[in-house]
Amino acid sequence: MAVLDVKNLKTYFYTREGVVKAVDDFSFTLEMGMTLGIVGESGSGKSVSVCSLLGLIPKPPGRIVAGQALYRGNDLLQMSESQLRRVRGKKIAMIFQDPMTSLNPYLRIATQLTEVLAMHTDMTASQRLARGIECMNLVGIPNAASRIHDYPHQFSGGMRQRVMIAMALITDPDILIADEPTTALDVTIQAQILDLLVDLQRKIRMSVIIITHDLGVIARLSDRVLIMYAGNKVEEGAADDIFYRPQHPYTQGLLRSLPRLDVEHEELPSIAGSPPDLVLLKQGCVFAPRCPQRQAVCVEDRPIPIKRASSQHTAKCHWSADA
Amino acid sequence: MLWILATITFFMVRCAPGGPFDTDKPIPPEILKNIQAKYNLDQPMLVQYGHYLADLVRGDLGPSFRYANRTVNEIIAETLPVSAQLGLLGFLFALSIGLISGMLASSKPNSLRDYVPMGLSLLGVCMPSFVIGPLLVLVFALWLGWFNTSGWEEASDRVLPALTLGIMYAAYFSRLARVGFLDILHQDFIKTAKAKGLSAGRIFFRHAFKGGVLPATTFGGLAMSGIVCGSLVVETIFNIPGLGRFFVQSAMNRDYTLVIGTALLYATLLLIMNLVVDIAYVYLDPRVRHD
Repeated sequence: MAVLDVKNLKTYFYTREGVVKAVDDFSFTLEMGMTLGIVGESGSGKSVSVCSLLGLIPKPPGRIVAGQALYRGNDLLQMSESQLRRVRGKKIAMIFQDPMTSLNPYLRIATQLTEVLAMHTDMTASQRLARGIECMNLVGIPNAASRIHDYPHQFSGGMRQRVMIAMALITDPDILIADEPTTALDVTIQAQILDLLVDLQRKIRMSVIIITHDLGVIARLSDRVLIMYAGNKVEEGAADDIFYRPQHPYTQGLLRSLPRLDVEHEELPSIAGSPPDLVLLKQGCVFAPRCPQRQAVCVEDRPIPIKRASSQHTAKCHWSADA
Repeated sequence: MLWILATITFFMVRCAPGGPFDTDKPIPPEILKNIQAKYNLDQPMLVQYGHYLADLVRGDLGPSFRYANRTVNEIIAETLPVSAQLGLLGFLFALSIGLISGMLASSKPNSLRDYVPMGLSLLGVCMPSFVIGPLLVLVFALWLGWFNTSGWEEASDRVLPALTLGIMYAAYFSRLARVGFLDILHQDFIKTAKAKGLSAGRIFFRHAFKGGVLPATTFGGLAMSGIVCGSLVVETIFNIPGLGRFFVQSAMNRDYTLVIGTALLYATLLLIMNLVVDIAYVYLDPRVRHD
């Protein structure tokens, strides 16, 4: 059963330079208890797409131009601010990239951790505190009972990200959205946080959307993978399909540019060119200017997603059906 | 700190040309001698200094040289409550109006709610109190007849002077609060708070407040000193029997002990205010606490 069904989402930013099509025709389905990974480079619209769902886009300049996001049958995009507030934090929780700046330095952890409960439940103060400590234990913070009264600056980066995760889990949400949860951490801490996420998902069985530009993170966590490029979903499929049978030239390029231990590299392969200016997008395929397999039709027509008959695997490329 | 200040003012007033008993008509030398002997002015300067310090330690600021038979302590005791009341009212007015208008402005930048207070605050910053004061008197006292033009008898007499004194600082506080809150409201942790489903009010007052008022707090000590100095002008405009007028007069009259006494008092006030600001800072920002 799908908990979240997003169809044809378009989020544009109206700036002085022109209309930035940050998310242009974006759809996905999140199944209950599954993990969806959204991959793309910086500025490809991954964060904007999920922030749009929760009404966290600054408006203006941002505007959700079209689309539908059904959460248990209710369209998030049509909800009023107060209806949406009852979903945010309670049903759909989010963790952000940089734990150093995402926690409020002026407030104690206890306050920040448990205020969601004050907002969304009728627990008493002592129940809330107990639940806060329980969640801190769950994410592996030692001495939770005393540390809950500390301030964020008294925690290390990894510990702060654990606090963020505890904060997201505290209301038992249906969906956890992790926006680049490991990007700002150093490598050893990254591994610990990933282990924690894998472990938590096994225990709690919630649905997870994980946003990253790190294919390694995706490989460890995701059931399904969605590749974004310039605001477009260029490929979507089961993790194995994406990693072993990539269809879209962009996905193929991404995978080729991963460092490998079993192959000798003179230089790491990369995708030629740089991401397009989202204001100046032309009518053809968004990837056409950088695509090694470009043909005349790619420059003229925007491809539609093509399904491979065998699986739930689609690629937005004129040539993917031939593969 | 205060001792350094006392020493500097002590020698500086004595270096200034003229003395407390200079008059247009020359005083007969015998009388001058008597007077100088009474105030120890005939002794070497270091001896005078020693006497003064000894008195100061006991809390005695000495006799006024100009107001016969009154000590500096008496003058201060009489006028300080008036000035303190004026200063405090002005400061509270500046702080409350400034913070509220600044917060309003920051809650919806580049809207009417932002432009109106910011336009007014620009005016407030630009207009000196000797312009604002008479203007307020003209409008509220003479035209509308709501207040007396000057004096310090009725409770309503406090309003116009406090406004005059506070307006400029209200304007500064307003701008600082706006900048402070705008800065905080763009931080990542505000996005976190939104993602948690908190209400706009809770985000503003719980998550943004402490950080938002920090810049204004830093300015608080400075504003206090400005308000103390500003009260000299305002007391003159409104004919208020406060300490400020004595301070100015004493410098003109070479009333040595009164100059040093009032200077020390103001300095003490500023030191205390700065301490208060530092304490407020520690309360607001947990990161500056040492543990």
